[in-house]
Amino acid sequence: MATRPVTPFGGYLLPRSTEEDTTLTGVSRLSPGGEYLRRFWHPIAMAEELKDMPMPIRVLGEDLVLFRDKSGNLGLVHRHCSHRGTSLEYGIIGQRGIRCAYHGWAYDNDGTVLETPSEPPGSRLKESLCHGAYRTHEYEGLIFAYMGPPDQVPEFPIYDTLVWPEKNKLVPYKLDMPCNWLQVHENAADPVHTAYLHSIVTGVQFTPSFAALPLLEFMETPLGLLSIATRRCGDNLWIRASDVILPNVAQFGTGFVDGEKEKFALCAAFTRWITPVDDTNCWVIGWRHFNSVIDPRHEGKEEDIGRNKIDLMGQTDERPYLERQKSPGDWDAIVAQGPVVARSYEHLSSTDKGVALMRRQLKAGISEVQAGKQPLQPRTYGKGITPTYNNETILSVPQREGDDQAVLRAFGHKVCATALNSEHLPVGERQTFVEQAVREMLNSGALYDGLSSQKPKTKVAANV
Amino acid sequence: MSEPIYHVFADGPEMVAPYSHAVQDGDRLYLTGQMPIAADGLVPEGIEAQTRTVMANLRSVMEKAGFGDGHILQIRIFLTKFESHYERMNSVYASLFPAGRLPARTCVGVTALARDCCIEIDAIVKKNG
Repeated sequence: MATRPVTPFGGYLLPRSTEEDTTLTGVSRLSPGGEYLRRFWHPIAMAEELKDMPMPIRVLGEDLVLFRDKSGNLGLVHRHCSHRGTSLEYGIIGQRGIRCAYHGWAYDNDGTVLETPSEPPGSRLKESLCHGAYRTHEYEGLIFAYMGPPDQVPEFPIYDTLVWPEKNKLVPYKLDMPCNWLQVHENAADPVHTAYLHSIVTGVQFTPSFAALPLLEFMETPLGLLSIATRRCGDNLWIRASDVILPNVAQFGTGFVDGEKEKFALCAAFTRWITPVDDTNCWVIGWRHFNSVIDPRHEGKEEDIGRNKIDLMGQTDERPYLERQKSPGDWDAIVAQGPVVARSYEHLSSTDKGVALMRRQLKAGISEVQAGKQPLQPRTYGKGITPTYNNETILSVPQREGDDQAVLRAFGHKVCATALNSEHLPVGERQTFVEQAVREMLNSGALYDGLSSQKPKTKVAANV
Repeated sequence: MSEPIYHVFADGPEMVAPYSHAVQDGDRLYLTGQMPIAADGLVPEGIEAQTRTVMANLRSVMEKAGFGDGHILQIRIFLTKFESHYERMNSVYASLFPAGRLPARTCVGVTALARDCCIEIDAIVKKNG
């Protein structure tokens, strides 16, 4: 950070028009960040968005057309026809692939030129080129694309939260954000904003429990980092630990925890990607999870989830401007940072360790790609499932004399470290293991290790 | 012929301009276009919730005017984001009426509505019985 004059009424003295470093934020082909992002699968559409017409779509700064051919197979191809550039959004979908409306060139879903009907018989033109196309994969109502080198396709990652608990229902959603992807993703590694933006400054947006200032820890994981926020709610301690998975995935717990009832949920309420549309637009796209472990009181609202809608306040621009000014949500705070955050003007503080760690991890990934290597990919165990660490844990850990922050710190750390160290266990068994281990720690007094005195405090301090 | 009755309800939906909540002409009630401003003064997020709020506001005016069980003859819907909200509004709209009693309807896209809202709906209602 550059030194700046500390001068009241000194707006004039502050530096202007710094050229920003776009290493992390750029998404286009050949840009450092863009090349890195192209080494991963990204969701690009909800399956229900794709009707019987070709769908023009922009992903990672590339203009493409997404379609489902009449055999039911997905195609994702460069938008402009290889012949003379007309958009294939006007193409005719065939039994196999798509045909350009202009001169009838037909392409298979993998870009193979099937026909160039205006050429004389015997023409070898169609064998001489291949139209730009990308691999797709459909999973639980979302359409994913891989847009990197065709010989380096990574395995499609299936996170454990997607397959556990049994009967977990995944409801897809996709929200538009008119800003660069990174600032949206950084919000996931900035848990202290949930106390301020969602409670203290603006009034309660989720539940009053969010107003308690959390104790923060950021733990490196094989996937990226775990952003741990531990709060006291009366006798209970509440952990909201969110996976921040490289490069652009995150998982969260619910938005309606009241911190009153004990809960062991080694699973997620949200799994979402931030897929860049271009340098200054992106989608929040993923699933809301519906199961009785993460949401025992069934407070989620399935009917409020989908295209530009989610059952959590402040995630879209669908409130009038004045309302959003009075009680801004995530959408407002993040979009208002600007089309691309001018990071050279930032002053990162003690609560921004997660953001800083995430940037370091992204930079490391970018360097690996620049060095010609395959960047870190999600690891899998057993039946191709990738263990994750997201958890929402609430346990009665009454306050005792001494530094309660030490108890919060120990609780958050030990629960999450146990989740991390048990990743080899099968899903389900692992949840039971973590719960038992944490209860043992509580019963043995290990959670109070940081306190000199072990006496129960007579009066329990309320935090909110 | 009886004079029209100009209904203004102190406890009715928030008034955002000079108007009556509804004007009654005999057994007909002409309702001012309602906005998606909920009883707590806030506009909910999402066109679905906003549609429900507008309809709840219209129903509350009908009830206060003594037309609680009236027949809604005609509805006019105004949307500022027609392309992205039309289908979403429709997805909840039908569920707000008893089966077989959908009003005659017009739905148009407009450039702006009061208070920066995305939806406004007005109605004409006939007294039951």
